[in-house]
Amino acid sequence: MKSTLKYIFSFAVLLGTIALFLSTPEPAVIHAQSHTQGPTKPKMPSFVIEGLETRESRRAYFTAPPVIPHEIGSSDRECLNCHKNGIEFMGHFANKTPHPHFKNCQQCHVKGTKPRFIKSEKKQAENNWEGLETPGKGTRQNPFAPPTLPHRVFMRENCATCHSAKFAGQPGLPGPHNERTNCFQCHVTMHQNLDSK
Amino acid sequence: MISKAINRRDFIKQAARMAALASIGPTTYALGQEGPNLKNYDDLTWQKAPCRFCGTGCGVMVGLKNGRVVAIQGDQQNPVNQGMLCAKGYHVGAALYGKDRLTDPLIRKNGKYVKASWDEAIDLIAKKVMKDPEKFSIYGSGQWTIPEGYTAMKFLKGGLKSNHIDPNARLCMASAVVGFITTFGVDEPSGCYDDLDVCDTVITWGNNWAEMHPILYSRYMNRRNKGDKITLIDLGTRRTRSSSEANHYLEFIPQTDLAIANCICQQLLERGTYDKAFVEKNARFKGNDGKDITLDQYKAFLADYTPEKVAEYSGLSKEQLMLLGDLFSDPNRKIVSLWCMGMNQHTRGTWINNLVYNVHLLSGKIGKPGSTPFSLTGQPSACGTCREVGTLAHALPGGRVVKNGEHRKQVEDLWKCVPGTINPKPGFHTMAMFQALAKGDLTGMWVQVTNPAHTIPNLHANLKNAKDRFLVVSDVYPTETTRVASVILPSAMWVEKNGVYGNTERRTQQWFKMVDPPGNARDDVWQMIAVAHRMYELGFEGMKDRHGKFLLTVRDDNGKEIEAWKWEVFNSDKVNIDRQLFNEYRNLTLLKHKDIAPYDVYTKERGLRWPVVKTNGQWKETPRRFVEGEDPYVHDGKEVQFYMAKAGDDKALIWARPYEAPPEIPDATYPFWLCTGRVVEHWHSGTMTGRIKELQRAMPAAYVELHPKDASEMGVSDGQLVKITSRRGTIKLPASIRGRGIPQRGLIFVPFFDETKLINEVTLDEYCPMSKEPDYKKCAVKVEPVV
Repeated sequence: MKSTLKYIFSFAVLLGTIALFLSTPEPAVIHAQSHTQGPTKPKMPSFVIEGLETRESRRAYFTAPPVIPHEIGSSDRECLNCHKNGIEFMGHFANKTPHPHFKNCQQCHVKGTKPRFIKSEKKQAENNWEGLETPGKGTRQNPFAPPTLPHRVFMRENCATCHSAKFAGQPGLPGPHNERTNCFQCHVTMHQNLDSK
Repeated sequence: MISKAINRRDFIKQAARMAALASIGPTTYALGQEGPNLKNYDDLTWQKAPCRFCGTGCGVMVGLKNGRVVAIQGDQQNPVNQGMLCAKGYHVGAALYGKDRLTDPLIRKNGKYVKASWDEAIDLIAKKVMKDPEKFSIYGSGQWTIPEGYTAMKFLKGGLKSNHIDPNARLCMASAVVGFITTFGVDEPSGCYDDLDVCDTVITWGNNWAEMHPILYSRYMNRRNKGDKITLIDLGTRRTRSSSEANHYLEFIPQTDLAIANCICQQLLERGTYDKAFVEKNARFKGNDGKDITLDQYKAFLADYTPEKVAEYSGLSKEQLMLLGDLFSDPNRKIVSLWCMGMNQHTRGTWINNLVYNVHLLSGKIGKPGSTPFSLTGQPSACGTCREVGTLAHALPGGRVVKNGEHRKQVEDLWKCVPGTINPKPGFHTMAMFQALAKGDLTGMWVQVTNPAHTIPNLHANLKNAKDRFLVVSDVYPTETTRVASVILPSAMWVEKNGVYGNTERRTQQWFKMVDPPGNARDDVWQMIAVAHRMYELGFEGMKDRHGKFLLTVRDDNGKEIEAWKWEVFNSDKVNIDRQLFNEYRNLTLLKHKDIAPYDVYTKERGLRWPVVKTNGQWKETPRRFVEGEDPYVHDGKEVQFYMAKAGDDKALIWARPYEAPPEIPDATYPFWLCTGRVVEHWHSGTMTGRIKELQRAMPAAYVELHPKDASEMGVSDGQLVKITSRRGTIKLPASIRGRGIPQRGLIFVPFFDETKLINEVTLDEYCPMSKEPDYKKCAVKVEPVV
């Protein structure tokens, strides 16, 4: 009984995901073992694509700390004024930090724009770096299991920072059940050894 | 899975598509050993390495894909950083991929750099060195790996019978070394990072650790965020990010740190709050002339350092000085003192190191969890290579010195040199070395892993004529130094080679080669072995051992010779030259109880703090040295035992070091102090970090910080160009007012990373007479707005 319920529940989640991403039905051709019938050709809403693009443009690689896309003062306390809880103000959106307990913000986050004492344009660094790409979703043990997390959760314990209706001033990476908050109840990370002590 | 030609938008669409497919997709369930098992992450692997940059020694997990570094994560298994990193650490991978990496040897012919084969370059260097071996020198760095430093030392001290080898660490931690040796008889900190987890007070002595050692700063300050009642006292000459969270920011006049430390000692003795039992058991008193003195004589010496008297010239008020006295008088308070360049780059660097030990010895705040004077290092292997291997003009491996005949013999025996090979006369230290090069007393120099034409103080005087000497430079990018080189050798860097680093808390960390170096770039160790072997082939006697064999022979575990000078042998997967060299060097680490474990132990560990001693079949590290129960060399019942004391009485020395004015003080013509230093985004001369997009964009150029009142008096606004002039040089920089740092009135600060703005053309080359470390923190300049 319990497991049947779980399957129904998972299936509902699944449908939610599909509904979000897919609109034009087309047969699944890539995965021969597909357990579902019907629609697969994805059509991501443009706002999600834009959000992801913005997200990528601010990182050297997937999981790198994002750069700061706006003017800042010298003190880290100023960062937390807006980013401690997140704030929307005059059309600008400041994300809630996933790690409010770390307060030396500029230890990891550097400015993504030139500092104010530089009046002229300076030559930029030329580099052949190719950072790790944004992954797809995590794998599932079976089609009804919750997806695993494609990144480690250390310092990202607050999932809603990115997986919310709004992200980085753009619509974020919404999930099928944003109203639920205990994410780790179902979703585990694939970064086993990277993550564990 | 995804072609590289694909553009970002298409890629994201495809990623989204795959994500959608994955959500309904098949059951591909197999947990990867390390890293995620995602569709496009199939070939992603992770390997451990210490970070390439500073002396903290954070562990990073290097994400590797298709033979390239693609991601960096903090290593949660590494006790140093426990998963955290700083901006430099997160972006360290991109340091490998700057577009202008050096990929071929270049030889300067008629003023132009011409591509050459390795054979040609090696042959040229060998012949040039052979021509004038006594006048050839090696200048390395605290970024040398342990096997690299060991090889360079053997090349010079064993092969050329000279001692003209010194590292840039001379500019960085020499004062700390001499401070340790004069107080404790042996180098390197006794405490460890764990002390930051259990102390309740940290005092930083001229140290901006929020930017320079941010991992340690966060490790401590995050305790406050978790509710711990902790105190941070920032003693400084400039308000920095570290001051912003400090309970007290105590701003002192440059150089008066000497008087402030003495003032704390004066208060401890005057109030009678010093730890009598500890001092009686563990310390003795020394006059500044080296003669033994009594406690009463020491008290008399301190009479000049009452809070009233010191308040007159230190910039601190009597109350502020007494606050420090109160802290150290409290027997229950656990205090860690931290310092780095502020105390070391000091014309009395050795003295101020001694003085801070005095404070901790008198108050008994040493050798207990949470109580320690802790000297931070700036470079990833300043400890491991420069201090432990001893790549210094006067030193030999494992704490030995060239002056000591017994020490020389021990090293000669291991190296199988002809007896009497090692020269008992110390060579040129860094400052003398560059002055000798300018004068012609040295005719050649091999520079590895550092950029002296950017970082030596008073560049005009000290780097003149460098272009006319035979200068070999091994590096990964064009630098100020390669611009004056005769031969440029392209090097492999960081995870393009095997390596071992030793960090600030005595932690030795190993990593394996993970990716190939670009083009024809090759390991620094190989370069040295290849030149040495070419000299051997050409019949140079010095490169022969006492049996006539090649001096730098590397042997495998069975004692069989490895032809390491052949790149195809060195570079093959079958041998690990690092392992052989490290295990050979290991034999020299026991004398001063700096014992390290065999190489293979480190391959499995996230570093171990020496002495590492085998107990019950296990290699056991030592978190705190000189402490019973932690350090195996401390005898039972001793609690704390300074067992390397020179006199053999287990007693540390409390030195009566006076205040002495600095050699150049602001006057009417040059009314400002100039202080130089680093910023969090950049590493040293910026040759690596300047090629990392995120870091370079955030901090593209040097600037000068002015106190807002000084700026307004001169009519200088933010961003305006100002001209800085010293007796040695001049430079124009944009002003930064109320930026990330605010200097005290009458002091300006300039970061030194920018190769287009060489502040070292302005700095002073006066140095501590004991440690020979120059003072980059104080000289007199004038500041004028550029109209």
